[in-house]
Amino acid sequence: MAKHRPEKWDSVKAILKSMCVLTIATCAVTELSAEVPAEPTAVIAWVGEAWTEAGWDQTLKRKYMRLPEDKGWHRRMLGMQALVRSGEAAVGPLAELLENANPNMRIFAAQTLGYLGPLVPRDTLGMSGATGLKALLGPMKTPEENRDVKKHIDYALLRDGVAVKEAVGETLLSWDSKTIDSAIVGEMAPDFQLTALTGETYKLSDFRDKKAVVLVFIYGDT
Amino acid sequence: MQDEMDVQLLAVDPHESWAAKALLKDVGLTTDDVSFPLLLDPSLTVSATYGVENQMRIHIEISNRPATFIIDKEGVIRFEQKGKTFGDRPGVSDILEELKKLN
Repeated sequence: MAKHRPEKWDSVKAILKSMCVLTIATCAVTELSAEVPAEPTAVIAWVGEAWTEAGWDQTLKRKYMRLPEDKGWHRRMLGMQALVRSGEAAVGPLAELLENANPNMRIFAAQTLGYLGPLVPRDTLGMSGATGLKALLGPMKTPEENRDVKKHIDYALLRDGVAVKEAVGETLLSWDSKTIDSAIVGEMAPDFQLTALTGETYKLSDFRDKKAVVLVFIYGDT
Repeated sequence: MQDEMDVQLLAVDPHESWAAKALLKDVGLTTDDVSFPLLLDPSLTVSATYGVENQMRIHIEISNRPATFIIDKEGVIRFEQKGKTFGDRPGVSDILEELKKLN
């Protein structure tokens, strides 16, 4: 194989990077007005168009953060809700997506199946006998080479049973998707209700008597 | 800080309870050690509403971008910082400074 000249290669990469940024900016503009398609296969394609590798901040080592201007996560979240809502009809297309060449999409498939699994009838997922999500996802785990996808399959399998106390899938379904990305400085904070680790339920508006609320989103590295 | 300044701290963790508990245990804490509500958002719906969801890859997970919001007595958002890297958060003194501005 011919050696490429590093300086030339670097400039090619720089051009590609600037193109990526431009593509993402265009994508972010068109994205917000887009409607979620009705068919599960169309939803998957719609998510795939926006949830691209280029959306990760390429300047960070290991590219672990989405660019702030990249709104690909909107489609990922809205698509996931739509697929969970589709129920049984989404199972086949998601099973197929587990074999997609793109690990980002395989993770998306495993995660969505994890939400969907507990909500669909057992015999939809069980291939022979009513063994549920395990029958579908279990065999996928061994040939899976990507560590991240493997872990997401684990999470999905954990969700499919007693491990989950919070009704994750139901909460996703009842979420008003119009509120996505609606927290804006100078405007009313979107109210919410969440359960604490200790079991009590809190609403943001419960704390109106306080001078201020400091709301911190942690990522909880486990 | 919370009582003295009449400020409520709320933390939102994107995990299910078993994972949040494991995290506390990892850093040598129990739920009794946490003096503020540690709210769980495993469906990521509140995280999505606040625009932080699914934006960071940490080890094997796709998680929330770290973010801090300050909300005043009227329920209006007065400050936000959405992190661009994992350590990108306002420090305690930055938050105190922002809280002073609310007077």
